Amino acid sequence: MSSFSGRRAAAIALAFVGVSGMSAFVAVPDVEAQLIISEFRLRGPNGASDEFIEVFNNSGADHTVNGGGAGYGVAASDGVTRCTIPDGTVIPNRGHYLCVNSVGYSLASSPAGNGTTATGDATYTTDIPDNAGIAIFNNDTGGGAYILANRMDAVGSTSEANTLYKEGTGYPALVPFSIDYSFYRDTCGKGGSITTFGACSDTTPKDTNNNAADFVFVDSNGTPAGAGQRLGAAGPSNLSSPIERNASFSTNLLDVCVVSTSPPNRVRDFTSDSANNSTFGTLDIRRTVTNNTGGNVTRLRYRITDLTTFPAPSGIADLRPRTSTTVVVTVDRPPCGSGTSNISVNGTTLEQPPSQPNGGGFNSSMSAGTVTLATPLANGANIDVRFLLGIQQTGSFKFYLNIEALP
Amino acid sequence: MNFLHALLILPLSATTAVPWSMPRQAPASAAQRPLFQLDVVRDRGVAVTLQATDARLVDVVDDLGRRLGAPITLAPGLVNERVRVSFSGLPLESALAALAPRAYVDYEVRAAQDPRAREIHLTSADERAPEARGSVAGMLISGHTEDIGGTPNDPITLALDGDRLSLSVRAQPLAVVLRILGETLNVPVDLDAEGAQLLNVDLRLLRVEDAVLRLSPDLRLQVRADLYRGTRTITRIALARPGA
Repeated sequence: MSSFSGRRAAAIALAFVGVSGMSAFVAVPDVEAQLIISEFRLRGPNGASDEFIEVFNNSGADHTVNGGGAGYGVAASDGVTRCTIPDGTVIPNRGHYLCVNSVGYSLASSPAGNGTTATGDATYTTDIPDNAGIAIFNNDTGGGAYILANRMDAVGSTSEANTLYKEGTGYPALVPFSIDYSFYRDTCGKGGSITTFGACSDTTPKDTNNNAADFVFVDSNGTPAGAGQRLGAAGPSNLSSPIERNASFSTNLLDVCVVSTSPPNRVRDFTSDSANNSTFGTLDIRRTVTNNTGGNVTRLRYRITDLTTFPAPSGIADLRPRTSTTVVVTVDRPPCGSGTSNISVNGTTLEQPPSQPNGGGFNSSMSAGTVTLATPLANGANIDVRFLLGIQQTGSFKFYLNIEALP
Repeated sequence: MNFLHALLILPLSATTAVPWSMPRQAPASAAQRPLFQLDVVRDRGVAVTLQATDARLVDVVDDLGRRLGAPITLAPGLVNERVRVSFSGLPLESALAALAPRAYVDYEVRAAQDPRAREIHLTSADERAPEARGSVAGMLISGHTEDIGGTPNDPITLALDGDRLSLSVRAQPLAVVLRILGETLNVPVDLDAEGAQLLNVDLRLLRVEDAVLRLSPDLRLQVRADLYRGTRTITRIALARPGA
């Protein structure tokens, strides 16, 4: 049992200790909640073996793997371990670990960290059947050690018979199309609803121990495959990938001296450009982002967590995030009315692969390519960025982003 | 108030390492529990009187939180701290500043009412405060694709000049104005009511908090006060049902 002491230490690493007598603030999370499966797919454009399983550190602190055997096991419901997260591996708070099927995984060149891509931190070669359950255990011994008491997290479909490998009744089973799809944990709290407006209740992966409620299905063509239909993209992240750091950045209008709907904060271009998913023109949204991390930021990107997009009903906008280039605009910055200046607003790049010929969607990421290891964003410094959204249908819209960064 | 009387925080533990392996402070036995006297008076604000000699900080804030009806969280770096302090009738924020190097208060603010502390966080100088509840937003942008501001007859004009807000609205629904404010301040907006009433306001260079509260008596603001930096930041805006 001593080999699990690391997990126990992490389990009690809630950052703050409540002392008010209100016990909710001294709650210690279950060990099982520390690492969760945050995104996966069991098939892709390369066929049945185009698979990945992304693990997320949900503990609130850096997590050092200390499992039974050689580490933590990621297994499918056939009981066969696909990946081991080795003992001693440190997964940063809110960081990821990526397990991929090296036979068919097609997203290895998806952008990740500084000069790195979303290659697997660990690999396997045995296909996981469509709709099968997967789970992460606190050991990689397998056999009798893969039991509920040792399970950290699981996700499986309604057709998975083994309840050890799913939570709740499971996510809706998919028709096994070889499409560029993904199931990812809801990071907004609206279940991927295109029509629900208002604030998100979450910004981190939702984990209510009910796969059907926690995971959102997306694919790059908005294909109905049995688990809902929405345009979006797989976004596998590995140990090198940027980490959600919303709390360490502040965001302001590009020009706080004018209303958010006005240029230069928002520019509506009515020019039709169907080839670029902008039949009814574009919305160009500009913001100033300030680094409050306390140190340099060397990689900065934005993850779309909520969006009105395909298939939007009438009255709701169908937006398609696009890559944009740097533009120079005139702003009136405080003290308001004291004069204007010209500034460069950096474009953002819709990160691919996966290929997104219809534009971005849920879970797509857009990078600020000017922030690099060689040209970091210093603590306290600002970057002016723009987000270009193609309009395929006009109407009410929402566009919510998480900020992901690396020091 | 005489701050010279206040505060001396004594880090008696030899190490200030975060006690990750010490998840909860066990209640001290009666024999161990240091004496302190605490009094909280509510009279147009909160006044705190405290006399403590080598009292455990965890015990002091436990009692204080109970009296305030607001949970107080201690960062790991403060869990083992002891306090020697004597002050009388200090406003809440001054009292908190006397207890920890960094203090943060999350208030619920309503028009024409005293702000009510909902949560309090105390940290050492090099620890981050937890994020205000339900407030952590990356970027929040919403609206209608065909709403184009900046026209000569724009019914809404807005300027944020430091911590001062100017806002002019002609016959626009409250919900629309709140959405624009949320986008401007990059904070979530909860609408428990429709917010269909039409607004006509012309506010010039008011403190942001004051300006927003003037829009409706049904607004509730969540405000984070950073006592070290002396800043107050709106972290969430909610429109309650009338009379709620």
